[in-house]
Amino acid sequence: MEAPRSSSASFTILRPKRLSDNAEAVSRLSHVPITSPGSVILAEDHSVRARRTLLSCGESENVLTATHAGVISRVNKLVMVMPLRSRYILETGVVVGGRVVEIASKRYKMDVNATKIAFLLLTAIKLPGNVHRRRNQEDELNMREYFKEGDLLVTLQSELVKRAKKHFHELPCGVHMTLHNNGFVFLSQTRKDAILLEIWWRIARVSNNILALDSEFNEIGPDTIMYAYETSLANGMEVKDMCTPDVVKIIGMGARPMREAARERFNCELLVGDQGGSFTTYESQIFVSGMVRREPLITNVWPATIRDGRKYGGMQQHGREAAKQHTGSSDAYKMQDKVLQASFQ
Amino acid sequence: MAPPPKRGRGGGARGLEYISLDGLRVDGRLHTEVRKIRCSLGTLSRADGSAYYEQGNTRVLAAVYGPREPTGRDFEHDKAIVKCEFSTAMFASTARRRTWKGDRKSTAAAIVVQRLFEGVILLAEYPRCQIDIYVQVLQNDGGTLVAAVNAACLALINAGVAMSDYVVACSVGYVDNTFVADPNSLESGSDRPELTLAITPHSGKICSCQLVSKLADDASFESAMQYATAGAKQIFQVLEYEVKKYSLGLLDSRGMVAL
Repeated sequence: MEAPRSSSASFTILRPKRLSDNAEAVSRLSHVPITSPGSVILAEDHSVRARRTLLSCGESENVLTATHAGVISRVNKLVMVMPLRSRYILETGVVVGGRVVEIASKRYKMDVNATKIAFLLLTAIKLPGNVHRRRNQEDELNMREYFKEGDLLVTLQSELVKRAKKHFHELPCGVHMTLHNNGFVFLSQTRKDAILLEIWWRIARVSNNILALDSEFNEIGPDTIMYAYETSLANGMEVKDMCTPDVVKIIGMGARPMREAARERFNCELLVGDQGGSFTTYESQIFVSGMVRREPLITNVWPATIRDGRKYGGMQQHGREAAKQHTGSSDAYKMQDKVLQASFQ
Repeated sequence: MAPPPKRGRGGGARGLEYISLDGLRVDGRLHTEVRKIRCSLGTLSRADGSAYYEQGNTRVLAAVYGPREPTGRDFEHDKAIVKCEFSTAMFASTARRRTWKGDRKSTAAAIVVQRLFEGVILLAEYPRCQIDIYVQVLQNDGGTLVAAVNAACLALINAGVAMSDYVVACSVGYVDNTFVADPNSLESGSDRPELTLAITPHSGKICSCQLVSKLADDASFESAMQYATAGAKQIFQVLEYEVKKYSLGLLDSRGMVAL
């Protein structure tokens, strides 16, 4: 495999290790504390087993047993098992992407790739044209109208997205990407005009790259995506060929050597794109990006912002500047301002 | 463990000698030997968890969706519900047979699998959720329930559902006055007793026990249970190694061990 012509290539591609060579991985990584359900974890006395977000440990007769297949992690006296694969575990304060599955009275029911469905209240969204008013009957009937856009959603495994401060990235190839913690990725164009055909091709290429990285269980971040994108361009892969298993393996394997470098540089090289969540119709589904406000069982998603690309004028400032502009607005927006402040810290 | 099998009277219903003079079965196995198992996790990309499982010539595909929002009206406020669907492909047997999803055998098998996993999955971790298990038999050479249970177990592990332990199943048949572990379709039939046992391997507790047809006496039953438990432990070793291999492969690919 030849090295790609990449501007940031300061590393060579190692011999690709296939996922099927796992027998070799077993011997090489035998020091990794892997468990599977039912196996006993050696724990000292007074070890605390962590609950909720990141793990589960069953306990019987003062013996800790694992309940998931995963890696044992110990922090002082806290023993946890980090599952390798599971549905996304929601926490308050994360930014997630959602897909509308149902419209109920005054709220949208959203699928956020977690165990439960999230609610997005009608009062929480900004009406098109930035109008501030109470929601009335007409708004309720028009709920279906409020989300229309032409962006692309890619779904990937949530474990592969590293938790980062910035979620909105503007990739150098002219594609705006919103990478959510729960594994939903929105791709759109950077400028507000209609999407040109060329941009569509780029979006499709980026999307295929992301899917390739995902199926090879690589870490997903703007760096790895751009590296894979450049690899695919350099090797002359056509967009339509990028879904075949061979090509997918090449892309996935090729991105591995840069994961070390990427992890160090991860927080420095993120480019913040223009603001807000993006919503989309993808085959008549509707997507929203927002922040989780409450724990499940009932999860409310407050949008970071909603943008209607056709009706908005220029760019809107994000973060604290935007929150300041909204002081003195109605109650419904005061909450939202706090959300904006919190999510962009 | 058990004394060597007695030499059977040659000639079953079709004049076939199920156990030869050497003590080998029709496919060359010993009477305690389980068929060769091949399995892989994560076969279906869209499912939360999936597994493909082969035991000899019996091939089964299992997919798990969940825990997710209940699709129907029923849900439990304090725990998850488990729904299972068991179906056999038309091309699974020698004769092409159209099996309805709701027919008696499939429903019975589905209920067995569902009740079994209800006992092993930590349902209290997922209140008001639903876990769906879909099992499809692709090729039927005896022991489909066994394969279904083992495949579903792997699929649940792949999906990241909290379970207290593995569930491993094994069946025991009775041919030519001998107990045989993991009978294939030739060795199992409607007139032959077959015991299917599902256990949690670490504790040895029994999750499910099904007996088809009749055994001669209680001592036979005990004997059969012993064979089944030993067979299940053999199978468990294979499954555990497979899960470990898969996990390490994922970690290797992802590149980070410290999280």
